[in-house]
Amino acid sequence: MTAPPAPVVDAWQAALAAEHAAIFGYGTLGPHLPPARVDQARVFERAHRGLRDTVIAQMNAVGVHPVAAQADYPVPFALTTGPRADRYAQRLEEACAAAWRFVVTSAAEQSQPLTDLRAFAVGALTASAVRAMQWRELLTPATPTVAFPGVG
Amino acid sequence: MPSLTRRRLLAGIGVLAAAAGGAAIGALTASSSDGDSAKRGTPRPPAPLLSALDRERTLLAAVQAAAANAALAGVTGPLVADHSEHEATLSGLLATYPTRSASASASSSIPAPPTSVAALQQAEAAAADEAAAESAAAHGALAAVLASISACEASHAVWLQ
Repeated sequence: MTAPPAPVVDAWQAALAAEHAAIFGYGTLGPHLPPARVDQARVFERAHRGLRDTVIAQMNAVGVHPVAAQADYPVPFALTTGPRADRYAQRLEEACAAAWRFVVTSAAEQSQPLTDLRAFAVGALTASAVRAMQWRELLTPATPTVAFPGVG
Repeated sequence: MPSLTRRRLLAGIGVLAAAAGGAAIGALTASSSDGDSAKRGTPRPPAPLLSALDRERTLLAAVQAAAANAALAGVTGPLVADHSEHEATLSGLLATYPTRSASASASSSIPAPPTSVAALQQAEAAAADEAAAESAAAHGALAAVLASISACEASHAVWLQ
């Protein structure tokens, strides 16, 4: 196997970086969640860890050096109240969805099929879209979904 | 909603997305043909765009009809809103092609509307799978639009469980 074209590798690395940020973010927000939501956060964090590990293995297999996690990821607002931790989790998922959607865009612009990577990216986009919906369901139950996950 | 059920569905989505990816090679061939026709001055809408728009129009009509059912009225709002956006976006993309081509995507006959939440959920899950396959068969930005539509419909399916 060979590495995808450079623009696709860049998008792929950005998606991995988003997964690193999500894992760190869940660790940060966890203590601020109401007890009833901690289990959901743990399940979602494990999903991101599994995805991260898979992506790193995929990159290594084609000779791409996986981007490392940063030492810290600043939280965009204080997590001192419950809904804010939920909101941050929603944002983390939306960021991952956007990053994986860009992998789809980038790969679909290439002349070579990149079939497996495209399918993987659609699956990862979908998984984050569903998780974002599950946070939105708690925050804005009247509008739990968005028409185009990964956009905006 | 039990998280285990959701995880099962997500696992299923992953499998289906991987299966859908198998159509990409043939689809890229089709996309190349579309590009060739564009160079000749006769651009044709890509097949994934036509099938997705037809499906969205059918699904939107079915969900709107389901909204008249008192038992479903409480869950159809987000579905109607999202499918309306899908239909509008895909219609806009189709409108960039010549009128003669655009007229080829007449909506198929509308099936009987879903009469239960379970039926709605199944319709959304099936639509998510179809949109994933259409994304795999599409080129460029259209592939991303269809991927987002698939992700939206998968989130509908999970929400309805």
